[in-house]
Amino acid sequence: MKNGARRDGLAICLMALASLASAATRAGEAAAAAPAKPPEPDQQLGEVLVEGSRSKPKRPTFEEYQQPFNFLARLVGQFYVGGSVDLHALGRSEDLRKVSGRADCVGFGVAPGVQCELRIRWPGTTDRNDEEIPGGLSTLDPAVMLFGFESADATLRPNGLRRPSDKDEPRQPGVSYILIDSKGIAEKAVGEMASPDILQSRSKCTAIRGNCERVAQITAQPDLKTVDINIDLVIDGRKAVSFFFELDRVPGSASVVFGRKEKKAR
Amino acid sequence: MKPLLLLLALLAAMLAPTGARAQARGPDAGEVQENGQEVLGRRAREQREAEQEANMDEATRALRLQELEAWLRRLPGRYRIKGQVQMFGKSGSVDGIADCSGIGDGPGVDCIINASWPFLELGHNPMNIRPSPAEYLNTMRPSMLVFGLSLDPPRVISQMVMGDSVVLDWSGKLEQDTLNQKADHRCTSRCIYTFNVTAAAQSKLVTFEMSIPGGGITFRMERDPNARAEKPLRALQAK
Repeated sequence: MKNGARRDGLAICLMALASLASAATRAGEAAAAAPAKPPEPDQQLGEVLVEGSRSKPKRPTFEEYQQPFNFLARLVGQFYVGGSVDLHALGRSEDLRKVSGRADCVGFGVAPGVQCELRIRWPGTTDRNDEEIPGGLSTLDPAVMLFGFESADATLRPNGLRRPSDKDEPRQPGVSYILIDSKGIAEKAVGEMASPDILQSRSKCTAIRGNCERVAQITAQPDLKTVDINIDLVIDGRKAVSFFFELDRVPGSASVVFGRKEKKAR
Repeated sequence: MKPLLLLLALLAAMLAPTGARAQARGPDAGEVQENGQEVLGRRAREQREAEQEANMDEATRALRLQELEAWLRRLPGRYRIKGQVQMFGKSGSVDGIADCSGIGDGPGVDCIINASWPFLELGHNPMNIRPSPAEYLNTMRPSMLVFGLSLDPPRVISQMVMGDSVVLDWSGKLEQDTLNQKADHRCTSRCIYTFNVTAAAQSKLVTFEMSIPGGGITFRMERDPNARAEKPLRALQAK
């Protein structure tokens, strides 16, 4: 009996030692993973007070739903294209290439959706080794752009919360578009209405591999005379090429919309 | 006997942390060993494919792009559409035309699709989908569809703008003659989850298969250069 109690006591001691040993190992690993030097005094964080409240996304208003539709309607028509390509986005006159061409945008359906056929060109430029440089050669002769309505509702779950994967999606109704260039490369983006006249988008480049972002702004004036398209290619955090296309409506040209019911003449 | 049990408990206590770490480093939960073959869950398979694509060598990447380009060049043409739409056990036949053209000399493709099917009286709405699936009616009269390439990873990207201007987009890979695409858009009420396109070389037939909530839409598109819509679309001058 006495021996048994002694053995039990020994076993309990051994268990306690083992758990202490494993705790010590974990502490040792944590110490090894920790930086060798303590942080410099000026790198130490002071006390930070964070306050927040849970907010539910607001449903867009009727006007916010209407804006993309008004914007899409302004894109329909035939346009002359002018503007420039700034090959290094430094604003130097020797880097500017004058743009010329046409854009023929037809509408379809009730909203309308808009499809544009582009024929835009500029004098070709390569580097000293005759290699292609971003924006050096036009890939928009021809190209097709397709615009449609992007509903903010679709990005929300029924409980009103945003999906984690939808962080890049618009919080307001906007316009989604895709550009297929003459090499067959597709660049797509989801744009938000910055104002009733301005659509802004940011998207990853498809034609240029690596860390490249396309920052685009399309401005469609309410007088329907002009549409301006600004596209910046930001490579490794630096603006590398800048495109500015100015679309002037061809005077007297028709705005064609397919697929609408014809209004009966009274 | 009692000391032996205590000793075993002691050993278990010592081994427990090591075992926990080994499990954390072990195979993905979605991976299962079955009949000597590795069976992966959908998410694990997608993750593995993404890793393979990220580590793809330049020669393989160029070959994949070449295959995608060659496949896209099969699509241009004028087609007569016959097909079927199915929703919650009800079905209807689809009629229409599609006109696909290449964009310049490149492999990009631009299609105008004008297809319609009868109203499907679904009765109750089993999945409480809003708006009703009958909303799909007339949303392809017309709809515009474009196909293009993504270089990294090599994929086909497509986007359709329906007649009500709602945008749906997909991306996918080629398996033999079929482009298997999945929705890039948020699938809530209005959605085409998958959009598979089959186009064999030298074939007169192109097939579109779309899965929608509670069913699917299938287009059998036969090449017919003389295909004309019975009620051609009328271009209107907007004021």
